[in-house]
Amino acid sequence: MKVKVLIKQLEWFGVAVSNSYAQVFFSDNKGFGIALLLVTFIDLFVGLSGILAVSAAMLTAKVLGFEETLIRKGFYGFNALLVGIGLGIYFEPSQILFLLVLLSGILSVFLSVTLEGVLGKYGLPFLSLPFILIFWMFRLAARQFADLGLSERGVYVLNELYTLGGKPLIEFYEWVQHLGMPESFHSYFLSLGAIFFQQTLLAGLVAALGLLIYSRIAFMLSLVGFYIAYLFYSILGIPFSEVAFSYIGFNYILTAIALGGYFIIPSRSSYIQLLLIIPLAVLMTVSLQQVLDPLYLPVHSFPFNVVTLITLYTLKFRVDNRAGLSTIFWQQNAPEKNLYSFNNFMRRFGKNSPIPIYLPFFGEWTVTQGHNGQYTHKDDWRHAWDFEIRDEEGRTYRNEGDYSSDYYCFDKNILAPAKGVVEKVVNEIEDNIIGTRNLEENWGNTVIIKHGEFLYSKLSHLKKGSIPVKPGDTVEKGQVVGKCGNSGNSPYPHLHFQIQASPYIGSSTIDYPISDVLVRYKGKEELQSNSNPPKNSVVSTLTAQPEMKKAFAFVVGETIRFKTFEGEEVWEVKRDYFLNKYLYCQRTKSKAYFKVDDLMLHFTHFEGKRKSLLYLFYLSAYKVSFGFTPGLKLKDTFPINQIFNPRRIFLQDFLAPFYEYLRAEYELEYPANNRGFSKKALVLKGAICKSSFGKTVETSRFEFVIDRGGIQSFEFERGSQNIKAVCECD
Amino acid sequence: MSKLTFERPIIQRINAGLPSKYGMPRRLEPLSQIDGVSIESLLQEFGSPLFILSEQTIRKTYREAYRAFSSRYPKVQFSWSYKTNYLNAVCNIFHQEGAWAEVVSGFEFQKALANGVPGELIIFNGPDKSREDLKMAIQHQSLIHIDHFDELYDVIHLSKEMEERPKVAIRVNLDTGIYPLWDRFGFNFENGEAGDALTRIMSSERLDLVGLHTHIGTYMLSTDAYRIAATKLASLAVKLERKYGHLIQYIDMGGGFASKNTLKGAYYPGTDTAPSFDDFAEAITSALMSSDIKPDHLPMLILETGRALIDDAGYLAGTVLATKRLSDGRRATIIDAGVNLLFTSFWYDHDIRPVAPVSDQSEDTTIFGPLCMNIDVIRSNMMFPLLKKGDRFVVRRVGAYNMTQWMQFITFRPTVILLDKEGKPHVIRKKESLETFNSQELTPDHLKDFDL
Repeated sequence: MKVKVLIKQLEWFGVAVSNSYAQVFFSDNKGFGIALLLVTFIDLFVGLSGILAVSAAMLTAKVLGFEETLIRKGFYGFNALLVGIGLGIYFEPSQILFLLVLLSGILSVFLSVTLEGVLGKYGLPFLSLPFILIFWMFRLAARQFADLGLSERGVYVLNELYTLGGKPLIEFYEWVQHLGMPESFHSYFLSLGAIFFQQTLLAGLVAALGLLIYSRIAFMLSLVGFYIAYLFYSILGIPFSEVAFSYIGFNYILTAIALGGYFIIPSRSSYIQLLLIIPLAVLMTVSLQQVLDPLYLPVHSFPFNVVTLITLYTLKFRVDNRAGLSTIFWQQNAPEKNLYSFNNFMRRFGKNSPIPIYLPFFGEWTVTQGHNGQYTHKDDWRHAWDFEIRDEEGRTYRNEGDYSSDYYCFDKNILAPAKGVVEKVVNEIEDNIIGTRNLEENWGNTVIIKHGEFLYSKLSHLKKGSIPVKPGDTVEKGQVVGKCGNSGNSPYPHLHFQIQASPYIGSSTIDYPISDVLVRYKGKEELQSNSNPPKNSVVSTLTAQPEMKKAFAFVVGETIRFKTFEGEEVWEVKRDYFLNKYLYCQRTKSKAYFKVDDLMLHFTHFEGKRKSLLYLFYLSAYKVSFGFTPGLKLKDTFPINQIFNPRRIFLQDFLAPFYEYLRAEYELEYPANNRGFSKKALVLKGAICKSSFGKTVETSRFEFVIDRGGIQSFEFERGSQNIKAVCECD
Repeated sequence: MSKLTFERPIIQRINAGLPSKYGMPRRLEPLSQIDGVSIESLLQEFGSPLFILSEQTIRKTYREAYRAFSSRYPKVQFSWSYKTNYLNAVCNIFHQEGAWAEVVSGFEFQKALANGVPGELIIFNGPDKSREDLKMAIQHQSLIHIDHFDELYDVIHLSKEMEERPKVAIRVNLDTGIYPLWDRFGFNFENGEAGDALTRIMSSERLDLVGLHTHIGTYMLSTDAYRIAATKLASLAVKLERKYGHLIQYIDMGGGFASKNTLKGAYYPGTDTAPSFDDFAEAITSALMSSDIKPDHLPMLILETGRALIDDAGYLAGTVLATKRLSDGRRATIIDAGVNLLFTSFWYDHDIRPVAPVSDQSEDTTIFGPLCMNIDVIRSNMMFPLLKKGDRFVVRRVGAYNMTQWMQFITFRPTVILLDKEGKPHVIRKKESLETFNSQELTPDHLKDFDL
């Protein structure tokens, strides 16, 4: 029992150590970490030195009390590892050396945190800069240390191997060393091994295999990066020997992985950019070598660090993404996962909208000018909408339309689009006579509301004297803040609505979506979670039904219990360090992340056991609207890595930056009939459809039964498997 | 130059009336088409007289009304008032547009069910609900709007016998500053009866109180009355929440919105005085929104307006039977549709038009129906062109109440047709025949034969 507790307490350490190894290739894959760990032990003392440095760093971070999730990710460990290995390779093993390794491990944590602070301000990673700085420091200092002998062990690899594994290992090593392969392959594997200071083919092969298992895209990128550099060297005729090249060749591999798929979402563009970036890295390496050689310092991964950082920094200042290079905003430690969830996020939401902004009116309105509109929504003010009400014949007025009051939208309540504080009010401008415009006071009567930092909404052309709020007032979402009018640059009554980053009248607009809009456009009706309704679309907001909110608007701290044939499932609603909310299943340690606003629930991510009920629930409640019209259908798509078996997407991974042939679609259907105020349960049915090249592979069906108390039961059916869970609500 | 039609000379006092702001009264414009369909051809095809309903107008009016409310309030529901016009085709148009059903008798309740309206979407109003009716309503989980204490006791009794919990609301009558005060339906607000009824319901613990209902009158020309009524109902809802922690789910403001018909004795025509849907909507919704009800708890707003939704869509076309001159020299025109079909002519000055253009000359005319009864007067006095026997006429805005309150008296009730969106006519109620009546009658054996 005690042992169990002890193991549990030490579990974090194991994870952190293995991740520290994997992190060198940006991975958090346990198997990959352990493989790399073994690779370092090709030289026993090097291996020991590496693990000592990592352990020192981990304990330092833990004792000082850093964020545990970051420690577990190996965030503070991988630089220590590199320093440890480096020192182990360069110097003769001795007690002094191990003391130095210990110190370097501690120092690497300090330096990592410092650089995290410095670079973090610019939103940049610190990469392996701490390692380079520390290693250079030791290299410079070591010349003064008389007791430290330079190691020659690197030369006598066989001796080391013999002590480690006897004759069979030597034979295996020899066999690998003499594998027939083209010269460039050889260099490639040596380069991979050189990341860990291992100049052997075996190390390179194991690292390559680990890389392939960890990520298909990273593996491809490593080849792409290596060969671009290799060719560039040949074309330029830069003199290089294989050994010398492999000691710097990994720079191109790491740069390719970092910029081709890890910090930038892998895509056709991210691959193409490498054609330019890798040669730049080559030039930088060659010139840095010239600078550092007189100091007897190796360049190591310095060029990779510099190229990656300047590229990422430069990309931040673009005003649009016409080059198709999207930097990641949620690192999942694998290019595939980043790609699938990024693509999925773009399909589902398009834009991030941390604070939901809703439509500022009741009922159905028509967009009469959208973003980049033909009349006035241009330049700095291009991200705005004009709304009017149209009747069945498409007219915006009754009678002849000679008076403001003839217009359907005139005098209608305008609402606060979200909770906020009123910043500015203009309420005294006369409404125009139809057909005339007031260009002096262009925006007319206006309310500006602050919803968050750098997030303001502006409602303009309101009716004179109709605004009941004043600056400083707190307004709730849906509170009346004025009436639609015809003031300012408005020839006929309409509402101008825009989101801006500053509180002034006349501020330029920002591109920010409207949440949960029912859009009718070109004969199609769709509930859009993040909407930028185009011109002539008819938009409205659904009203949330209390029972749907009770069922699906999870509140942090709440517990949800389900009873199945197999027993009871208990889920807690939790919130993590980054304020992401998730359902947590204690039994299977699974997490289903979601985001919920006033009108909708979206599940965004799942981590854990796919056999758990929570996973099925995550699939089934992937997108739920709390309001609905009879027969409303919701559609959505899943990131395929969350649905398909990893074996099934192995091939897809290689192609993923260019083409996705696997698809997983979600559909939810609301009942066609209105239930009035009866207590009849609400039955929601839906399906999840997996397809490959457009052909359906598998369809699962699910059903929710909801009553006033919330979810009553949940049923999931896949093939012959049928699971029914009954909610034990209080 | 073609030969002018002969018009019999008469001597008439100049009686142009006072000029209105538009000048002297104009002649009546003929109305020859409905939705682009010739009335004359319809009369030839389906006989005279003939009720004509326009589906296009019904849908358009409904959407206009819905838009007026839904663009001002988050949860709006219309409920079609069956008694206004319960021809199945008409009801189903409203149901297609999303309206629920509002019924005031067991018969109407069954009619709604037969039309396919789910029981829980039927609102059961009115003072006449038998025990059987109530049972049926409870079983169907319909919304029962309780009118008086005797009914409340019935419902409480039934709730003890039955499995289903009755869903109830009370009808409240209140002083909105208009005359006459409609205090014959429901529980009075000012004297505290409404509060007593609510206490009774809450303490019974067997009824689900889901809403509050009022219906302040009929043919209301004042929107302010609605504002007052909505404010008072909202205050009742707030009291309920404070006292019992109970949230009601809807407020039913009833109906009574005026149509554009002109009331007898009104100085201005209805087209000028009737408030628009927007006016009513503004009064009601602004009262609810500015009440003390919390924004999250705003109840659904239910409207049961009937007249204003259907009146404009109905027409009665017919034929002149004869003309004559009365003893005082006034002209009389006898038409083939009387008060048996136009019940509403007792309170409206109906807008009657010739179908084909006739002479420019108008004369003070009394328009009589065909019945052999003195009361059968459609318009006692109007400036009307000189129609002859066989000429066609059409009465506008007869969609509300006439097709439910009409009488089978002396003659049969005529065909009703509906012009669909493309203008294609559909018979939605056949003309009655002798068999219609005889099939209902039983003659005892000893009365079967007679010798004359």
